[in-house]
Amino acid sequence: MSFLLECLNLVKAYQTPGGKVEALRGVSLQVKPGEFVCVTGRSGSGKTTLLNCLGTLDLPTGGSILLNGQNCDRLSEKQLLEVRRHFLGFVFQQFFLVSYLSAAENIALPLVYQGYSWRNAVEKGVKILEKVGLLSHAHQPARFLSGGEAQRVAICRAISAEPKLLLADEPTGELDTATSASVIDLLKAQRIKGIGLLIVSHDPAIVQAADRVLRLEDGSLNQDTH
Amino acid sequence: MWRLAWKGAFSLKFRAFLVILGVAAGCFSLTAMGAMAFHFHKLASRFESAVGGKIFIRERSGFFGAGAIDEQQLLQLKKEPGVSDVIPLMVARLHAHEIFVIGFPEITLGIPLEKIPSLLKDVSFLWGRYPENPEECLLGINIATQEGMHPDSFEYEGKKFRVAGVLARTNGPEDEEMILPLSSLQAVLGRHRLVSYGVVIPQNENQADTLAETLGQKYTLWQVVPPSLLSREIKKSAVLWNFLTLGTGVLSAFIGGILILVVMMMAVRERIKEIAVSSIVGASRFQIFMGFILESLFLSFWGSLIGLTAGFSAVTMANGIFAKQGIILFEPNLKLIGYAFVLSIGLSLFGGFYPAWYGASLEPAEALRR
Repeated sequence: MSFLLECLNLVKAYQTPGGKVEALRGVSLQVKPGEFVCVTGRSGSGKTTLLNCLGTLDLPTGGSILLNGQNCDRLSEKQLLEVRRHFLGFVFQQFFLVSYLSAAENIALPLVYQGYSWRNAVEKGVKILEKVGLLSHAHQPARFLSGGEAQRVAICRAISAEPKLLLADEPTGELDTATSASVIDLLKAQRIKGIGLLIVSHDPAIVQAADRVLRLEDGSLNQDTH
Repeated sequence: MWRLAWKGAFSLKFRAFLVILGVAAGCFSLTAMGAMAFHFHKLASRFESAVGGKIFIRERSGFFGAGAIDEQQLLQLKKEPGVSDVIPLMVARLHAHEIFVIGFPEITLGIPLEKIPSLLKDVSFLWGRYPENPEECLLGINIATQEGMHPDSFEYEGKKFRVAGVLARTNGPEDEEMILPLSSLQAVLGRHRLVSYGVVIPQNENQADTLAETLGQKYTLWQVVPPSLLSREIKKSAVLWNFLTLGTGVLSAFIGGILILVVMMMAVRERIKEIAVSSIVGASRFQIFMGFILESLFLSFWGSLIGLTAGFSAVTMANGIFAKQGIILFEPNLKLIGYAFVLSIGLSLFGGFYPAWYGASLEPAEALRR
């Protein structure tokens, strides 16, 4: 079976005033379609750096990343943009919804950047919200959504362009237990469509729900607990 | 894309309002000052064409008073070679109390009765005809306006003159004149055989400067002003005035552009995470750049529209109000509005360019960390 994501010996080093810091030291991992992989680790272990590199938001210092079999090293900025548009979806701890847009308009954003008309994109956003039971909030400005609602809208935004791989950084980090459960359910539901999930989290509920859990310590993936 | 930019531009309503207000104030000033510059440019052009090719003779010690040159002496100039005609003129303040005015002062101009048609040949009538006897006068439009446009008579220095006609607007000195037969003005002011200055019409306009130089050397008690000097002085004043008025207007519009720059820069810095997310969900650098450019264009468009409309209305209203006092300060025209609009939009592009470029050049991961 081909991997959605495959990274080999990933290295990321930063130059700081105090010298060179290696955030990632030879990380290798794979994610298959429909697989739910959780990366856990202490604060400062390099989880977010790993996610940024895998999401093509940051350039690794060494190693290689293959997304859907394509080596990201060899892609131009324009091609990387196409990968982000059509292959990847992102979910963040702080949701990062655009406060002055409605829930449906936030979901429409990736589609608008792909060239959809505003009206069609928003209509699609409304349909996605209907599927996740948030239709009543479709035209509500994002700033008025509760934490759980905002995160579910953020997930809807991430999946609106029908990506193959969803990357999430502490998606339940700012939510209470009950709300976290609904967010985790929504994330897990994406697996049915063949979407692979790579989630960086401390949340035991996510760890519990994942097919595989990888522990990142000091920039190295040194165990697989599932 | 434009819908998104529209929402972004007005996401903070009070700030958007302030930017629009700032741009509108700049455009208002640009319109008002531009209309003033246009008016003075027109005045200067009209004045230049009215005096073009003519030599002016005035008494060295006089500035604007009446009765400084002997009329008979002045008429002797007719015998000089190259001189076609000499027209003695008397000028007096229409209102003796007026000390300082903007533009042309209101004056009473005395012209020999038989010379009035030739001297005013380029000026049309709003109504009426040339004076036919010493009891009749002509009124410039700004003076006639103050008198209800169709006065039967006009009183000057305690004497009533029948109004023979009102001159159509020239945007020149004629608009502010009461024109009397010279003998009548001399009689009213008690300055018989004296005139304020003389106009020498040369036989050949192209040699007017040479003729003026010859006359100047011969008649040393008088100041002989050649047409080229007069034209240069008029142009100098017009350039200075245009520089002041247009400069003020453009400066105001420029401040509007700076306001856009500052506000858009603040918007970019405040919305840095939004930019990062846009980039992450698939916005290209060009799309982010264009988003902010469109935002600044929307704000500037509304500011310009409001400022230009208000400016145009205000100068038109001001002209209407001040015309009753015989003052016209502005020349509102659509060409000026077009220039001002283009300038304003250009300045908003200038103001929005750097913030838009800054936003578009942000690296998403770096922007998320901030």
